[in-house]
Amino acid sequence: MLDASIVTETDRLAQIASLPDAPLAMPQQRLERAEGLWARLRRALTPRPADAHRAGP
Amino acid sequence: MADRLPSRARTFRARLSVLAVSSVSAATAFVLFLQFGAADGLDWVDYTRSALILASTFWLAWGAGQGLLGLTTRPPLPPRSDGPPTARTVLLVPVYNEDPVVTFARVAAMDASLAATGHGDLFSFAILSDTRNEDIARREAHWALRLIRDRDAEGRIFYRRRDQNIGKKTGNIEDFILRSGAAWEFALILDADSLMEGETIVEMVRRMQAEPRLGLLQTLPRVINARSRFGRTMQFSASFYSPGFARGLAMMQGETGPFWGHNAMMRIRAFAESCGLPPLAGRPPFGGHILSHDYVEAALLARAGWIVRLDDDLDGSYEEGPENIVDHAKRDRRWCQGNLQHARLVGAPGLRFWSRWVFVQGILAYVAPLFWLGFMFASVAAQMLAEPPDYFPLPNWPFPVFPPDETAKAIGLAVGIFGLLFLPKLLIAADAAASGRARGFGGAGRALASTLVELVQSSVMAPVFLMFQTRAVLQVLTGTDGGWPPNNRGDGRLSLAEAWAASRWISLTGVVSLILLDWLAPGLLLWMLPVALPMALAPVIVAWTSRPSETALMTVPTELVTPPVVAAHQAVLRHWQADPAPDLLPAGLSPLILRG
Repeated sequence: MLDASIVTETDRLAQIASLPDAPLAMPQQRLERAEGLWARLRRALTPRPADAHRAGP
Repeated sequence: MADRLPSRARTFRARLSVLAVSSVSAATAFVLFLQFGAADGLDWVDYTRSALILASTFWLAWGAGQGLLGLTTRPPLPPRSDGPPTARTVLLVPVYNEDPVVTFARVAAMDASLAATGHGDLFSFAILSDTRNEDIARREAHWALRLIRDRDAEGRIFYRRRDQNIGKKTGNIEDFILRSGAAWEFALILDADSLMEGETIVEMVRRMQAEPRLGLLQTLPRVINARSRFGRTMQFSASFYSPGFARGLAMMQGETGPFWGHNAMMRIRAFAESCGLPPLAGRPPFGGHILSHDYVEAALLARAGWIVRLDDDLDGSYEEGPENIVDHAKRDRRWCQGNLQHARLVGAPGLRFWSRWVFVQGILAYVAPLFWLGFMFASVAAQMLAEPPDYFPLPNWPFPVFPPDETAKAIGLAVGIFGLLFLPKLLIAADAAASGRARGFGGAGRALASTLVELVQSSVMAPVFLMFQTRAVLQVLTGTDGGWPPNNRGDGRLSLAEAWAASRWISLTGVVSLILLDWLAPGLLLWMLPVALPMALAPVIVAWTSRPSETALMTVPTELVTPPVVAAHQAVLRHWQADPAPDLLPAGLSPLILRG
């Protein structure tokens, strides 16, 4: 008779083949600059207030 | 020849020599073509064509230089520990809807191969399933139990299936590290079709132990089990040419080596500390999850100060390849999107210069064919725009003045470009004949004949690849995918109808190109024929190359002597297929079994 002792193959596998509990942190790396290349280029080419003042009328 | 230069100086010299060869070749091609174009006066089309020739030749020469470098130099032997391996190592087998019988039989074969080294107890396997198909998942559970029972591997072979396959393969590995990474020191990352000899794996552990700064050690996998004409040609190329090119690559990259995603061993702690990949801002194709993660992980390990190394001398590392052009193009489509996405990462903070150049090379691998296509278009435009020669340009001068004939330069340039394509392969064949390596390929005569046939076959297939790559780049840039016809046969064989469905657009492009060339630029017809004719015949080429190969040409060493782990895999597979473990899957009770 089938009773509660019946398990699926998946359950059985979970019993005998579960990965060990040994966590390791994996912090996310920074891959992109906070500011994109175009934004940096635009900023570099935009006259700052001091430059604008120096340019004068 | 191994030399005594310090490692960094040797790497610098290797890079400089290939850069010099490439730059000189590209500059020569540029000047020759300008002179050719100047015969009837220079205009913007000539400058455009010359610039395209410059870029294309540089790229071709870069590859050829790498091959020549590999042929003429030997990197010094890497440090290894002679003592017994002591580090606990896990072999990671990510699976995704693969046939579990074939895949798990590979695990059984590698486990047996490791046991034969006497160090089997140090090694575990983790089968990391991302399978979405429930039927296949049920079969995985069954065959994983069978695998553990047959190998007596409870507590040594692990299996888990994720509920959601977030982040695909990268997420799969990351999930493993987050949950269980601290239990092992090293991890050997495999693909579902990877096979590696136990001795090779043990040797990798020794090398990892001998160099504590080594974060990742990549092997050069050889393609095995190819059956079709296309598959065996690729298998021959991978076995015959790749070691030379890989040696050149190993010399140039130094400690900033590659990671090709599988058949590589990593130091888990280094990987965990350095390689947590964030999704990129924005939407695909350039945003979202990083697709070609392996290149990025290699760059991140190098950024964190770890050595990433390709040891091309390690034998006993195998993988399987696509059996036809369509499957190859499908894989290439994925790689193309992944590589183009790296455009976002070329400027990532803190990367080593070589890592950035590797990203650029990966992008160029897909963009460079477009240079050739652009060159062909520009050449047709030049023919159409060319004005008829003026033989009497001087007023009141009764004799004709003929423009200088620069045809010889164009022919010289074409010969030079074909030389860059063919010479490294021919030199590798000569070297194999002289060194005795050709014996593994059926002898010097057969190896040379195989090389010549491979050159012809790859030249005929090149225009078809050119079109598939062009389409892939355009699809990625426009965020579309044209879809692919299904391939139902396991052996990869394609009928003419299936080949037509997959490549009719190439064929039509080829036919239309030939008609337009004949009409608009008949002088170019002969020059364009080697490109346009294979395009027109694409379905025939796709179907023909997918047929089983029955020639003695393209023989590789693994066909002459079956490697032990490959033989073990075949034996396990035969055994399991003959006896699918009725005690694990009783009739009428499937998929249930009784406990105890």
